[in-house]
Amino acid sequence: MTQYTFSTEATGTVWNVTVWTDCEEQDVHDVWASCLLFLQTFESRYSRFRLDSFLSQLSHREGEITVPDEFVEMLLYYQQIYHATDGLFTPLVGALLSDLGYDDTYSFLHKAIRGVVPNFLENVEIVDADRIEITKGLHFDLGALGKGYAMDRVSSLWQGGCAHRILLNAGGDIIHWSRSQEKARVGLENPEDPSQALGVIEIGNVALASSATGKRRWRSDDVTYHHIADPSTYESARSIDASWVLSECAVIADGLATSLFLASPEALGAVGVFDYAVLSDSRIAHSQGFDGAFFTT
Amino acid sequence: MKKSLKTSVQIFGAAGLVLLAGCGADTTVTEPIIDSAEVMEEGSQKMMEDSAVKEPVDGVQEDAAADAAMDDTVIKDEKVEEVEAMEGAVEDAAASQDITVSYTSPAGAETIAVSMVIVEGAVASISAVPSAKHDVSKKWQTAFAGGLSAAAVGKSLSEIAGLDAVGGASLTTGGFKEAVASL
Repeated sequence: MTQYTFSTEATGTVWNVTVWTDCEEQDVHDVWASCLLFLQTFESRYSRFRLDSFLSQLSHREGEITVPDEFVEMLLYYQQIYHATDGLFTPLVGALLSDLGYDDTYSFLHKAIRGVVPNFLENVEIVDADRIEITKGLHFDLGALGKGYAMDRVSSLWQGGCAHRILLNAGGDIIHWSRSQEKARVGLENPEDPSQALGVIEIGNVALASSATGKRRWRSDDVTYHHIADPSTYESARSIDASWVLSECAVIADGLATSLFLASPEALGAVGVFDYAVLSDSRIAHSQGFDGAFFTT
Repeated sequence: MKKSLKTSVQIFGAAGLVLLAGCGADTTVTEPIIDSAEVMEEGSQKMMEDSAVKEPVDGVQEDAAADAAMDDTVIKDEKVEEVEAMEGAVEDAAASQDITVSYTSPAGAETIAVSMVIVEGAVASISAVPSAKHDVSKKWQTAFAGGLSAAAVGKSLSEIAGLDAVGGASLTTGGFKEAVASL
């Protein structure tokens, strides 16, 4: 068994993949090449920060549009979580995030809010596997689950290839998968101090995603903002400080880690199977199945 | 395929629940603790092997279970309110307080017992005893009771042996850091 490590930058963060495999070296590098190709395409299509991206261009379009089928698939995940959060988790939060200061030039200046976040279901209709119908002027942002979706795709490229085990780490969101049921030992980062962990968890074949308000945070007019916007208050969401979610799919784990800032874990049960831990006021609350050890006083 | 996808989406959209066929990773699920567990297990067998959107797996019959699960959310909200009320009430001394919270679940009236110790107006410790009658409610209450815990403290990563990775919020990339620094 040989171990390989690959690294790249994508979706606004660093991706590291460790692969254990018996395959020929050339085959392993071929799989990584397809991962890179997928990620480059993904980035060029879905970055809100690239004005020429497919996603940015959607704000100038209306009516029925042919779109990549993966976009429809991500919208379906958004619909699921949209229902469970009473409409707070939405891909139409792009304009609000920009207005709060998280814009394509990283201005971090709070501007006038352009208006209500459009109703997702009323303004975006999924026609079929590669067509949607939208109203004009929609500013999409897939930041709440796009990375998780991309992680699932990269993971499946390895699983369909010749990997025996993989550990994918995309900026602290993790997929671990092994044919022989090994576990990975993962520290749960202290959102206030990345040199520390608040606990440790051993994970089998599962995705672990996290969200925290400590990073991607800025101040404007003496108010602190961060990257999770609450469309019901037009402000950054504030109920908890950090979340960790375990789920079979990284796309679900990623989306729910953000959603825990917007809705209760119980309400999110309709989305799928997951376990969670949340940090609030220095206290950890977690579901029974979140089998981690936390360091406590 | 395309036609059936459209139909499915509309049905699920109306019912408030959309199910996707899988997530691109052929993994097994951790211990399911919530009611939609079986739905996702079934769905995950048909995982995405390529970029094509799969038809959502038949999930209409699961709506009732999922709705029931969602309605149980009142448990947590009500309890939080009680905790806040208590903090205001007992500010001067250490006190122990037991509360039984009643609420209405889809299966009828339920209660959960909460016990807490308050020191100087702050909740020092808290525990909950699941006391639901209905199975679904019992499951939710147990999950919640298991989640109450003490204050977390950080431990230096260098002191923790054998870590394969660290799970946390996205590492801030260069562009973001530089932009903040230049403000």
